[in-house]
Amino acid sequence: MSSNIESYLDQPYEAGFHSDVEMEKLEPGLDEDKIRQISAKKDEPDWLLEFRLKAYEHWKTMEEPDWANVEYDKPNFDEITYYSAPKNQPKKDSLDEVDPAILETYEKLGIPLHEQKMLQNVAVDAVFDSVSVATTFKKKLKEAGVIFCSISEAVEEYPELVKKYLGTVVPYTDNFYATLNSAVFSDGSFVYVPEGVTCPMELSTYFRINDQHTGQFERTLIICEDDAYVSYLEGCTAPQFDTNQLHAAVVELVALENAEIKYSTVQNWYAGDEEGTGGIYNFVTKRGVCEGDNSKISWTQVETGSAITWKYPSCVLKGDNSIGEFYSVALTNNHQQADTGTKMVHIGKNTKSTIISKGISAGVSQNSYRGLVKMAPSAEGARNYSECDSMLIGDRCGAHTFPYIDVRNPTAQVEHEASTSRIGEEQLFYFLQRGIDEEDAISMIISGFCKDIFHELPMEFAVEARKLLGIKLEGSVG
Amino acid sequence: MSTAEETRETMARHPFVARFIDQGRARRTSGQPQWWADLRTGALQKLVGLDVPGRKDEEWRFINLSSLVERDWSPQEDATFEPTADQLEEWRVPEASSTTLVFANGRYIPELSTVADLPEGARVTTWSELRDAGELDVIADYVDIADYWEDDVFYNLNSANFEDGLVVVVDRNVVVEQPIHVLHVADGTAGDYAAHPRNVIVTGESAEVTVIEEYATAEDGVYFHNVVDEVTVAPNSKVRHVKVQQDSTDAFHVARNQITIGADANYESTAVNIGAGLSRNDSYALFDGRNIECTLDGLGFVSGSQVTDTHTALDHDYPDANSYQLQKNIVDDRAHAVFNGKIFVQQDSQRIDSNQLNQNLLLSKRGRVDTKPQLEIFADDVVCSHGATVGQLEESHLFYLMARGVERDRAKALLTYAFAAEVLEDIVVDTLRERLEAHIMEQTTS
Repeated sequence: MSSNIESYLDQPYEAGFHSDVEMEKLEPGLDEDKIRQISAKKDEPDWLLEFRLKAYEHWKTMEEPDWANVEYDKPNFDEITYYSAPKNQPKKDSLDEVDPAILETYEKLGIPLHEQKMLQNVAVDAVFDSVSVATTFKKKLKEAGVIFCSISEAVEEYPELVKKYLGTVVPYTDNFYATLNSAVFSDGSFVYVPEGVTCPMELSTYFRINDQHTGQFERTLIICEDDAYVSYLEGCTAPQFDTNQLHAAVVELVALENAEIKYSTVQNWYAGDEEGTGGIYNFVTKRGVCEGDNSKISWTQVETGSAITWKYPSCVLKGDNSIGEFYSVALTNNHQQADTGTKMVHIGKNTKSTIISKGISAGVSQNSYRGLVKMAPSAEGARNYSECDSMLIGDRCGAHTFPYIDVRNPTAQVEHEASTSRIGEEQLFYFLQRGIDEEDAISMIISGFCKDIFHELPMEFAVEARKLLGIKLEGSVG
Repeated sequence: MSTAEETRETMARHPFVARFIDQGRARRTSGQPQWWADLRTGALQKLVGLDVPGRKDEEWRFINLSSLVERDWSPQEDATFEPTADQLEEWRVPEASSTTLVFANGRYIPELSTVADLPEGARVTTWSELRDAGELDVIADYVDIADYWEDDVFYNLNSANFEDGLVVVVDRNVVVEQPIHVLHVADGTAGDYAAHPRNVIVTGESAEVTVIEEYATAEDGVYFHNVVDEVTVAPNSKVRHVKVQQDSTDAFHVARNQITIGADANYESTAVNIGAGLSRNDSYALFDGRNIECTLDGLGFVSGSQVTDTHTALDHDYPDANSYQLQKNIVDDRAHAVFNGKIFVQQDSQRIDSNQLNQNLLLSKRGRVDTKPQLEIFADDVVCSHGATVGQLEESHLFYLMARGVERDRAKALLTYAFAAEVLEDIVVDTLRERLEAHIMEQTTS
């Protein structure tokens, strides 16, 4: 039975192509001078350069953490290129001006940057390596008062907003990789939804690491004013290279009174080959603050790629009655390793959080859930419910659960449940007996296992995610 | 070797450790078999390189050991205690009247102990008695049996300093009907002493035994119990192990429990932690064969500024095992309860059914609970689950009782008692269970 599973799993990486676009980049390695260069290239104001330099100074004093349940060769920070941008730069008014090779890349990935866009009502801020290439739907958003642009553009045009919020959720001292990001971040997305506005469409960014040896350090900042709402989608792919590439992003969300932010990710970075060579190191810091009362932040993630994933999208529930949610599917196959989960920090009264995590491990991969639920003494009447289920496919992989629960208020209720199981032969037999072949059966069982998460994804993402899991697991069960 | 080098090699990093190294070095060696002497020497050498764990150590991050490690502990020999029979009355377990061993401030008191009516092939004794009889070799293979504790500072402190403790050896096919009761009673006014009981329980194939290990205090005060239990459960045998820790709330209690279980065997344990200002219990159960059943239950009930910390690890190293764990903690006042339960399922250990549940009842505003149930699974054909809850009493439950005329405080006490009773009801020794239930009831109403 297991040989079938394996063949099902060994599906080539479909997004593994490399576009030949001329790149403008810095020499590898990092020093103060490089940071000044990055800042100068981007024409940044002094306060931002200060921020970068402070972060760099702090970074030099830090040590790379090693507490996660993953094993890998530490990146050599002197060999990484910290800035890389497609060369032909001048600002474009329409997509026609974009280098056709880039557009072709997106085409292969199936991102409809053209008319289909309109039909799908999705605006895309495409980040190609580090610099934002084209932003569509700007007008429509502008009418609604929503600002959706690259963060470098935001620094130029809305410096006050960026200055006010940048680094407030993830301070530059936060952790090794977030600090590195603060020093060298090249671009990313910026979203600002003003008071009372419901963003008229779902915003989406497609990140793509294209150039070999390029670290991608994007920085995303989303601010939702009182009574505002936004749903943001992020998808990731990277082409195939033998070396390991580093991706150390920072995402900051701020939700003010009655605001709601929904952040969805489908992560399909290159995971390395079957022997575990190559692949992306995905070390990301994502955190949201429910600053105002009755605000809500919801993280949904489908993690299928990367050689090493190390991320914990978190919610700090400051406002009374605020809500944090985390829905996650993490799939690891071959030599992939994932240590992912969330942190819910309850500070305000009657705050609520829900954590649903589904881990699927196959091949010789290791999949860990690590989470923290913290009830501060002030978190009167707070509630948390966590559910972490793991599924093992094959007898050489591992599934691990490390939930931390820290409660300092007697009126707070915390519930945590976890289970580990596999696809039972009886379950398969049930399908086969009804004429459904093994692959379909497995795909359906997995879909059922992850149903709670897929429900949370916006429609087109849910379809993609379901397909992705199917592709990833093809031939792996039997 | 130069003097400087010598100093470096013999100086411990922390005065707490250094003090116990000195005490261990001063201990007599006469009558010790070579393996015991080697164990002590090995531990003393090991200790030189070990530091006191701090908040940065994952296994110790939730508790503060400073009040324990900053005190000058003297050896138990400097704080003798001669209890009277009357003093022990409240802890007597009638079922075990013919098999009770009493230790006072770490020292064995044969005059107050009774060992009689045992079936042939069952031996209930102590390290000191075996040493005097020159028969310590019967336990040689059952001491220091697991690498798991190799770098544990408290385990090594015990190995370097222990002088005595319970020894139970039950031969093949022998069933010991009456429970064995070992009572460690302390006089906390005798000086800040540290005792290092080392308890060894060994069964032969298809044997059966029940052991009650109890720590109690006759006079409150500061002392430090640093216990190591080593339990070897032979194939197809059965061990029931009840531990009751009611040390003085000024005292410190640290315990390391090594349990090695053979094929087809059954180990059931209940650990009740009510006493001590700071108690820390670590259990490591190694599943060393197929078809094992293992139950590791626990109850912690702390108030005032007490801290109780329980760490367990169930290591499923062979296929086909069932394991169950229920750990409940009740926290009142400024007390703090910690639980960390690890379940390991090693590669090829298929068909493991493992269930763990940790429930915490937080009764006060300033109490604190930290829990970390943990699964590490490397085999696919398994059913493993864990759950953890933290909360207060359900308002609807209180209402139900109050609607029936039970006063609020009384209703609270009843529900708290019921919460605890679920763990206690599995204790098979009736009088002990009733005594503990009464104790919990009293504590909840006070």
